[in-house]
Amino acid sequence: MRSGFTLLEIMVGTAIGVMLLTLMTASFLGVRRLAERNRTLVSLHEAAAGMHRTVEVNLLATAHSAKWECAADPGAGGWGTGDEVLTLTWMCTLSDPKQLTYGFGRDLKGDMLWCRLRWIGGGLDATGRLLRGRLQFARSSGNRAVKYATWNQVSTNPLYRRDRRRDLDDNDLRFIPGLTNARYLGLAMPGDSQDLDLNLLDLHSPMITVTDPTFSWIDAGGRRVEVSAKNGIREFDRLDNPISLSGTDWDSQTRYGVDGMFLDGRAHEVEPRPGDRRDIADTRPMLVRLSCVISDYRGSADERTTLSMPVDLAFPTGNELPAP
Amino acid sequence: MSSLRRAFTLIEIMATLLLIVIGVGAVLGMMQLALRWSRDAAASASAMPTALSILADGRPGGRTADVNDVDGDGWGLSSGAPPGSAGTTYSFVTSGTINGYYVRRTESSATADLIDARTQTAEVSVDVFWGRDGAYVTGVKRRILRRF
Repeated sequence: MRSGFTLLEIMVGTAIGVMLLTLMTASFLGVRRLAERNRTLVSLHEAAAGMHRTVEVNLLATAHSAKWECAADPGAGGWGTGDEVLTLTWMCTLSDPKQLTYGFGRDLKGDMLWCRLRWIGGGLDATGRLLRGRLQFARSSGNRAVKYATWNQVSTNPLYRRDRRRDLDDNDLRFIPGLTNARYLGLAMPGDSQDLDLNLLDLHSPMITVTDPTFSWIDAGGRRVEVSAKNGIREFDRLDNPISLSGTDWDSQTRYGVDGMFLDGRAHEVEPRPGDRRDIADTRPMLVRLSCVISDYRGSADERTTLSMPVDLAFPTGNELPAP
Repeated sequence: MSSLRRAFTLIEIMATLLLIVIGVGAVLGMMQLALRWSRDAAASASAMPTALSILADGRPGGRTADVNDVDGDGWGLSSGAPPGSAGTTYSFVTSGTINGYYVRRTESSATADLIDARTQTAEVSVDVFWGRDGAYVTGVKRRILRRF
């Protein structure tokens, strides 16, 4: 009669058991890693969708009679070092948030709101890796604390009709080139204090970092203007040949503007910008592209995962699209 | 009493262990499958924004729509050719991998779609897949207005 296992049986059984346990543990860890990767991937896709949703509605409502401006700041380290700041500013014609009568009120005013899209680079760490970059967006609220007199209203339509005026927004003044904060405060214009720079908020969760950004647009005449952290502002013709920038205030590697309301630092000229002899309607942006790489971010360089995703989004600024 | 067994044999225990491992393995396999399906479902959040972007932009991210993507930028012309000017009948298909999806874009227009010397309408359809041979995710079809 056998009263138990032999030592050999126990050893063999233990060895096989350990092997099976190891396989199960490895499989379980694989599932866990897959779940973590899935969570990260889903967060990246949702971040891309969120960016699209916010930017699309504001670009689709672009007010083409107003200025369109982009700026590229190379930061301390020069282009491509990760500490650049790219800014795109435009006006949209979304309803005034304080408009409560849906157009039936007697004080109807066609309103225009400022929009700003900005990428801020976080620089490089000691190993040369890009630190956190953030994509931010802000829109002026339209809520103005002070009721201006009529003469403090500003036209928001090229026809200068009385019913196309709205209360002056202090952002309008801030967008006049050359106006420093000290000079602005000296004017003592009460407004909604809705300075766009102060109200920029991230378009994505704190877990997401955005790097390698490029803003670009194709204008109605077929030219493409590209704003990137690597090269600043560049312009290309319909065949992708580079066009030299004049280097003046509104036509340089760091700033580019298309004339329109509030671009008052220079005279409203026949030319929409220096050296550009095209009709001003041909210089208006038709299609805007936003390209970047989004990655999962865990608060420090060492904890960052390697999962990242290139994102390419495009937004029409109206009904028409440029030639394919 | 000499034939009475008072313990399991090694074979019995091994067979039991094997069954347990097969069962646990099956459960883990199903978990992986469920995770993949749930990921596919949740990660499709950016599929429609991608489709709408491609609908408006036949050269996503400024990529070139060259024949069969010779330049390797991930986007190429599968058939037909984009028109050089308004007033022509045209049809072309571009495709490539954008935002983690495989996207196929078809645009066609006829001379009857000409509005004036510079503008012409076109019909565009965009289909989004999980990969070149992957499952269909979503799609969108619209008429657009082109300015040449």
